[in-house]
Amino acid sequence: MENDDTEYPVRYIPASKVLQAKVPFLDVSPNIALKKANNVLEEMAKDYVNWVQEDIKRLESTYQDLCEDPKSKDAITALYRVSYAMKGQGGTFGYDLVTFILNNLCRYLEEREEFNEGQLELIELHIESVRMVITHELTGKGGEMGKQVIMGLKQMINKKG
Amino acid sequence: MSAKMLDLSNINILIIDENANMRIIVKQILRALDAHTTKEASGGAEAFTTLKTFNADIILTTWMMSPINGVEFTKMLRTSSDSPNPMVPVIMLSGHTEARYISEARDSGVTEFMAIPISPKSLYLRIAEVVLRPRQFVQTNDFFGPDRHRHDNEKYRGELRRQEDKEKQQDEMELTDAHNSLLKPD
Repeated sequence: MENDDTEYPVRYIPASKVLQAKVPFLDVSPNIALKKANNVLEEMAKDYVNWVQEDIKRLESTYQDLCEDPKSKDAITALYRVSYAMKGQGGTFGYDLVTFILNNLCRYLEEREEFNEGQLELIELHIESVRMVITHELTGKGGEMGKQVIMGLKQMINKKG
Repeated sequence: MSAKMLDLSNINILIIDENANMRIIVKQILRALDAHTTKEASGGAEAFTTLKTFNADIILTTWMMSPINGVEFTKMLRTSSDSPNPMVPVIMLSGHTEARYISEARDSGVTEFMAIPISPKSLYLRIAEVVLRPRQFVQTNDFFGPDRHRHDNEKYRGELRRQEDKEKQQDEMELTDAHNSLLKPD
């Protein structure tokens, strides 16, 4: 279907059905494959606490770079990128608090172009909180300890944010 | 209606993410869903090269990449004169879920938007969306990409949206009735 207009020409190209032709339905429920996929993630989650240590080290090193130059755009971006990647993975493996804390940190980094001493301390607390969540394997909401971690972070945000 | 699984074993999927761990996660989920033919790229430039020899049916890309981010990559894919596959469906995985980001992704030519953290169910549903409800393409002076508005059964969708809007604003994330029924237990 084409719809020409002299001033604002708009051309419509019909949706392709090629993909549909390549993807037939199987006579099984998707729930079987989804359960299998969830099991795969559960297995991966057992290793997550180990390989996330490398990410935490990257968080710390990019944070140190920012401390050395609190106005550095590159340092802010580097810290943001590590935080962003980790926040996506945490929730996938059941570590919702990692996602929550680092989402908060990403927002905090987005809003500023430089950081004073108090604000750097607040960033450090975010990183410490992530470490605590991983060390104590606080999955989901993290129970009582999870509550304390988040409460401590909120208090610091109110004080230094 | 009995729920049926889509057979993903014959499709090629390109996964683009600068984070290797994230690529592994996505690849493992796809494997469990029987989508075995995947390729990986760590950025937009590498993805362009890969697409010259790998006929991707679906691209899964993250937003956050350097030097070319997912939105810029999608724009290039849709409009560059040497684009290997300008009409391939692109599903964007992003931690940026505010309406302005979703809108920016749509304006770049992204087909579907998916919030991270991801789950097998959310990934499967997004793939089902591009397979079962492909979007027509639109070409204007300043845009080439999937239609940002759906036109099938418009009246019904409109009524549905108005109801849903009362409960949630992110109707971009809505699931179709067909997909919901797919996931009902037998």
